[in-house]
Amino acid sequence: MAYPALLLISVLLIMCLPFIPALQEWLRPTDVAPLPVRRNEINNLRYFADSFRLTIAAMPVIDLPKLQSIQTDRTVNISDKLHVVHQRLDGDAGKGYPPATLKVLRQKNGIVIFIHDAWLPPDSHSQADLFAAADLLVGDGASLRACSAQGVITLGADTVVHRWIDAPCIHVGSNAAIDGRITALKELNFCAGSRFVRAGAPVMHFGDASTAAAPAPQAPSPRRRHVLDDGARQSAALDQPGDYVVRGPYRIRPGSSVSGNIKTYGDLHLGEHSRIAGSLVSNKDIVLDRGCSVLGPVISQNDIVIGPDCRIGTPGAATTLICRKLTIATGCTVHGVITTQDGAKVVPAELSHGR
Amino acid sequence: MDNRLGIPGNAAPCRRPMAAMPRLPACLLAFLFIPGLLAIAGKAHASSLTLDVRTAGLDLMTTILAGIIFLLVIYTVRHYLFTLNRLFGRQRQPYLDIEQATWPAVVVCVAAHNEERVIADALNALLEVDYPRDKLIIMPVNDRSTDGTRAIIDRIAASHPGRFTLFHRDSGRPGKAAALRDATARIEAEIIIVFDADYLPARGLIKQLVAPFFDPEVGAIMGRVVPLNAGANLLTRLLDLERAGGYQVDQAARMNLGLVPQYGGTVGGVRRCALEEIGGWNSDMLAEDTDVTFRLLQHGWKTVYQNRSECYEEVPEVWPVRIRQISRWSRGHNQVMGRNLMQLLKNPRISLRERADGVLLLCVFIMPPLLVIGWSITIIQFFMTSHQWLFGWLALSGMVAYGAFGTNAAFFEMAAATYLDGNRNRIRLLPLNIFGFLVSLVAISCAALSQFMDALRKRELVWHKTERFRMAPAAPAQELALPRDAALPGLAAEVS
Repeated sequence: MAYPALLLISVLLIMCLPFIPALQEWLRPTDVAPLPVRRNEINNLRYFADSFRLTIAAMPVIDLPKLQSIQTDRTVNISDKLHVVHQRLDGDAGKGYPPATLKVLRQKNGIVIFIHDAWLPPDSHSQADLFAAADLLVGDGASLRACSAQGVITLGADTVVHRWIDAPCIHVGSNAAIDGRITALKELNFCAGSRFVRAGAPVMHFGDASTAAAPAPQAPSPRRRHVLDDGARQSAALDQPGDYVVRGPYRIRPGSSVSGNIKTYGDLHLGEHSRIAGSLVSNKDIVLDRGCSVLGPVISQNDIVIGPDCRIGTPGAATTLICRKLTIATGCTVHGVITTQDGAKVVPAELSHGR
Repeated sequence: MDNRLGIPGNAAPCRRPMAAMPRLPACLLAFLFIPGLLAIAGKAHASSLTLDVRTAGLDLMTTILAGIIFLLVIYTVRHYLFTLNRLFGRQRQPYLDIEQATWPAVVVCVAAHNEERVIADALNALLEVDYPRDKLIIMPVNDRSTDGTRAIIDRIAASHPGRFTLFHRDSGRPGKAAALRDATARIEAEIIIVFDADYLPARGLIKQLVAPFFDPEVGAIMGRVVPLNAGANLLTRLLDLERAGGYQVDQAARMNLGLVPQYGGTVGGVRRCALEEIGGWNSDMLAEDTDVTFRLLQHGWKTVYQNRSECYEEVPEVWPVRIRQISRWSRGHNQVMGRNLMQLLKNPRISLRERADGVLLLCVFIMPPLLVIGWSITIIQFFMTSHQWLFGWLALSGMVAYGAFGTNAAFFEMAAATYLDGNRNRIRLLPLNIFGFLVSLVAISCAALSQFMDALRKRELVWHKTERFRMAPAAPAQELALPRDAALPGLAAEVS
């Protein structure tokens, strides 16, 4: 009789075991806060850059107009992590900064503020967050952690930005790589071979974009929805204004104009000089041939290939492009935001698949 | 509005009377009975028509039990599939990053019935959202309030001219669906976003909820509901775990897998033309949200769930309110099941996986009563088959095995959700959820029984409002200073 009783007691004890931490947590709570919902947070690609500028603005010792009026060429160490570079390199960029300045640039988690136009030498490695009160020129092959400027930033060929870069206007050299975000208040210019993950600006030119297609017109609203099952080839239905849901792949004939949004379950292929006055959504790939223009968001759950001379969005109606991997040819212009998961690459027009 | 039970299958919201009996029980019973009857017939033939009533009864019970266990196993597998997808699968939130676009006109409806404690917070939060002002109209849907709700709405609207379209309703059919139906008739905007009055939308939430509508196939959007009063007492903490499992894992996995995410009636929205196409809000339904989800699906529209579009709500702080809430959800959901199940099964334009998931979602509130029936049969069989102890033992083992793996599936889901949310210590409360599970089981079973009786008597279900508990204006859990408001001395004003 003793053994069954022992067994029973053991079973009951094992069953009660999980309730010990449960009762402890109930009676002495250690984790009761609601899940944090950041109520002030909005979708903003420039979030890090804005926060960085605010951090600098909140520093009592940083008053840029006053600092710019100081006549000195020293690098002032305000603290272990904050340094102000007063040196001017006007017309003498080749001379470069003194070793002390280059040393603080390599300091991890530091902040370096350039009071005047700045120039980072080729193949330099900066691990500090940089802020330039004027223009910033980055030499070929340099590597940066994060940087912001109030003037124009020019990234040389083969430069690498590891986190983010932001300025009113940025020129990205050939084969440069931005592993995080690149944002501009006015304009971004990418050379062939450059790469990035997320980008945003009212105007983004890829290579020489002077021949980019004219913007698509605004679609009327409200629109009728058409559901097409046949897929693969453009049907006559697409000539009518309205939104289209295609349960399969779809190919739009060159020169077509569509007044509405298009969603496809399969690949979506736009022929040359197609104009879409709405959004493009695809569960698979989206391919835009040469000279296409799209007014609304372009969303692919897979990859997007954009041929030369295409235009996404308009100057007055910025939009968003989202995909896993983006290949965009030179000659294109995008207005708004590009978000990729695995990165975007700018390819020369002659090598583009979306011709 | 929540959609989670923490027990086999997930609950879904509901609201309103039941006009037709759920059809599944009849089909299900037929499905369960036929093999039993065939077995009985076979036996009768073999034993030269000597019908043993006792044996026949046992066979019948065994067949029913087998059917119930089969269904429970399906729901268990579903739970594990969803959880593993969330933990290891490819996550799909294609519209969340839409940051810039030509935003469509939106009307935000705030459903309010005697909400003087909370309505001001909701309206003030909506006035602060970052959606273009010329495209956003706030429409408090004041449904027959008898407290100070109307005065509060009028005062706030008067101090923000041009931002509100008022809708006060003094009479008419009670219930959110009926109120929304009347309000929608006055809306011309392309998108309708709906909040309950106790919700506190974040600044970026409206854009997030509107973004999926750039996809012309999307008819409805649902965001995530987060309990604000999670730490009030043990009940709210348990409900917080259930909600986390329901949204963070269940809904998100359905979105990932291309199944049927559910529109929950709040922190979400619908496309007006899609709503018109399906005939608008059905004021006969207690669960108008679930009803809209399935009618949209039948008409080729998709519902999108966005896990990052979070919004605070209140959960019940006392058990009687919780029991009433889940009973109401159960009745409303079963009502939707009765109206949509067969149409869903027969609709060839809906993919097989969506149909399968839709059926499981529709039937989720009949699983607790089936579980009770299964337990009862197990016990009866155990005592009736004393000479055939093996059958009873097997039946009991089956149910115990389900208890171990089936119930664990739902708990695993909650644990995974807690892990994904980054909360650590609250997971210790998980064993106590067994009590919440039992309460829900009894409440839902009773609700199903009373619904059955009401259907026999042709009585209409009545909508009851969930009691609010907030005493003071809500304080956000984490208020972050935004760059937008600060002045930058010496720096160009270039913050967008």
